[in-house]
Amino acid sequence: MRPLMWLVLAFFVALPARAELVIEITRGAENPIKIAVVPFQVTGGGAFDVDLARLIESNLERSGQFIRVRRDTMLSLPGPDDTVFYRDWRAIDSEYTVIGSVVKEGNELVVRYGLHDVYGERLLFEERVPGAPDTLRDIGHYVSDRIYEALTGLKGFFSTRLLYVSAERRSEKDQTFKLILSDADGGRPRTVFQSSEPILSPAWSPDGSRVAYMSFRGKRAGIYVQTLATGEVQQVTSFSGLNSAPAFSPDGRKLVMTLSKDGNPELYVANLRTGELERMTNHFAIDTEASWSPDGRSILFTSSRGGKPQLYMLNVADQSVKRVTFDGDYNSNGAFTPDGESIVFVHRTNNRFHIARMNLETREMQILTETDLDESPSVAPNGTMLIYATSDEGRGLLGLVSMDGRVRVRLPSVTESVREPAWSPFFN
Amino acid sequence: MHRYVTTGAAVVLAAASFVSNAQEFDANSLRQSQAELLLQIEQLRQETQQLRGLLEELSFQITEMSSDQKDRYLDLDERLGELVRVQKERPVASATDSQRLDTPDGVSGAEGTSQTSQPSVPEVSDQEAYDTAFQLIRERQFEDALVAMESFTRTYPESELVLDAKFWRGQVFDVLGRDVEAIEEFKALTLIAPDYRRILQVKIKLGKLLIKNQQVIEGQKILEEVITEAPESVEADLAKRELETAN
Amino acid sequence: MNMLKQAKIAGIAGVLAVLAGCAGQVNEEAASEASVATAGESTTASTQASSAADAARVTAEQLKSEAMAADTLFFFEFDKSDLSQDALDDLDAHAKFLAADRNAKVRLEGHADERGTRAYNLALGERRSNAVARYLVIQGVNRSQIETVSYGEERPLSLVRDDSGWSRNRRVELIYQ
Repeated sequence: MRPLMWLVLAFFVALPARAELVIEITRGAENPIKIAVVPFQVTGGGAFDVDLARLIESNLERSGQFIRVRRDTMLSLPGPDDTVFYRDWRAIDSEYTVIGSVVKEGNELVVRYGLHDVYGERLLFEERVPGAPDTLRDIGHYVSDRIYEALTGLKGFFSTRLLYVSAERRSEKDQTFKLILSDADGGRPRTVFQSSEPILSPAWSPDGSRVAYMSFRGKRAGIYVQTLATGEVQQVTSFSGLNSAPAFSPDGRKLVMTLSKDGNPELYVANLRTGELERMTNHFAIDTEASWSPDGRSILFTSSRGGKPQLYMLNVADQSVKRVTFDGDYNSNGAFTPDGESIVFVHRTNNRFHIARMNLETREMQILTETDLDESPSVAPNGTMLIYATSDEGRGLLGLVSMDGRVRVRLPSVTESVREPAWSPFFN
Repeated sequence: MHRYVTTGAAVVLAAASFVSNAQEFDANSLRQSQAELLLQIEQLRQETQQLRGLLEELSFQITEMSSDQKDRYLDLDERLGELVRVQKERPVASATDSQRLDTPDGVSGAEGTSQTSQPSVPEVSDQEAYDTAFQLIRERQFEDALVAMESFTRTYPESELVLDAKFWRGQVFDVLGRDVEAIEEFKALTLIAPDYRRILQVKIKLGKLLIKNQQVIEGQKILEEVITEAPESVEADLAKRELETAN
Repeated sequence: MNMLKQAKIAGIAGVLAVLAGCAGQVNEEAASEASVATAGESTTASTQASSAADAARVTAEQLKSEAMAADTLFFFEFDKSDLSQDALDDLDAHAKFLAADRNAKVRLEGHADERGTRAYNLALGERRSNAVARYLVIQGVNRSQIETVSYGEERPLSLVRDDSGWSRNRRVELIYQ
């Protein structure tokens, strides 16, 4: 094996991208929890560009498990030190109420909030979170996570991040591709990398510090790993032919990818420390879109070895391959759920491409989406929803869907066409 | 597929002989044949892929079907057992009517059983009841024997003779030319009682019936099992003979 | 459609002009080298050499013009990388020219339509450009004259979202460098 070349190519400063994703809920859960988030009282002067209450209620609502009580129906807008009249909140059908304040002290601030159980007529918990004006969004996501966890028992995904690719097309050969990093709600989009050539398959490292993706430098494709905090870029491969679809191993030390340097697209595993490269598949058909199982023992991938694209499972230890999908003539781009029990993938039915989920043990399959050309499913680290790419009139957008298919949320971009979303792991 | 390979080889040979006749070397026709070869290889690859896909699907279906079949049998068995338990617990109108030889047909599922008249409580030992049923076979009263054997398996689900009852039902179905039911009965035996003392006989019969009923590959597989499991047995010789005549 | 066609014709004309320029230069250089080499030898030999060069130039130019007239877009079926008979005829013309002029180079860009997943389509685009490359090599072109790249579904030619658009996007573009 030829050792890989390790290059530090360039530093990319995170630039603020223009378009923000706007949340639009298309379908909700059967019995969402009704929650009222009272506008946070601001003391110590000045206004902030983040409305914490709005941020929190939008976050909770996006999970599909909550529905907000509208602000204009609230009978009073209490602060943390005011008496809470539970009857008033029952009157407007609120099950839970969040009351908080932001106290500014010089360049710093403290957010104080409490979660009230309206029918139980009690304060469930109260917390003070110190911060600064530029971390207010982070605090909002943190508070959302705390409330979500208190009321559902599950860890919230609001403090996680998204990566996706945006494309602006002027003509066939004149396009701008950007790799964008944003908050889980689409807020604070930042350009991580920009190119006039395609960027594909962004993938998170398990600790969320690095991202692997395929891009072209010059006319040649390569796989790059970029450290998000510093912008440092490491070139992992740039062989002739395909260098595509990278995915990290659960321990973050290896990268599985597709290379066609030996003639056909095959899966290879690169050791990121030593640069050693191991070939995992050997078939004249297409093998690509690899994704590691959470226990690290298997790799799910797409192969056309059976004439049509289907998902196969590679046993990492002995490199044996077993076919996984048998339903339909196009199943591809698979990924595991965080518990490793199910997979999500692109499934063609009636000539339309949808996201499907299948339990590996029972083989029970469910189609989760109903738009067309749905692709690139990526599951939230708490396993409750997944993000995917779809398109509307040729413009790419991102959508969220709950794992039971009941809740669907669209994240339409304002200007650019977006695709290839990747949901980050938990950061804490 | 074989045809492609042969043609391919022929083209290569033709090309080679062309080169050896150096004077007449014609680059164009060599290229032409190479191009044809390329297309043929591509066709071959596609065909191999399609065949592989088909094979993957078929073997998956077979695995699914055999596990389904086992599940279905176990489910049926459980439901019948449950039914017998219920029948045992209920009071009986006529205590002597334990064999229920008068019921029109065997019970094929829960729906059928719910219509059956009065349940019975065994008054005789399982051996006696079995002997009575078996006597019907001796007397060549096959239809009655089927009913009696079925009734026996429901009345004495725990009896060791249940397997024999099933075995004879299979034999009787075979004699009556009711191949499908015979196959069902024998197959059930291979699934629930792989160690049954007459299992080799069961497999010989099952293999023959399957081959006769166009399930040649499965039938051959079962006969081959007999040969590998008990190579010295009389049944192994029988199986070999069957396999020879089948081919 | 019309605009695309016009753009394509303009593109071909441009490529033609550039190639004509390069080829002209090469031939002139070759001719002057030949004249240096033959200097001092008998005039008959030099006349023979130049007439042979003339003949070679005529066929080379003929091959070139045939190549330039041939199509540079080759289309494929969904999830397939088989070359059509039409494509083979055009590729033969390109192959003859490339085999005759070892300085000529082509870039083969493989593409897919938007249906199916992106990374798979990237692999599919590569299969298509490789299918064309392999055919050219068999027809006598040097592998080093060919560069292949796949853009998958990232650079559609047509934005029409039905069979008419998709069929135009499943293609290999042959571009003289």
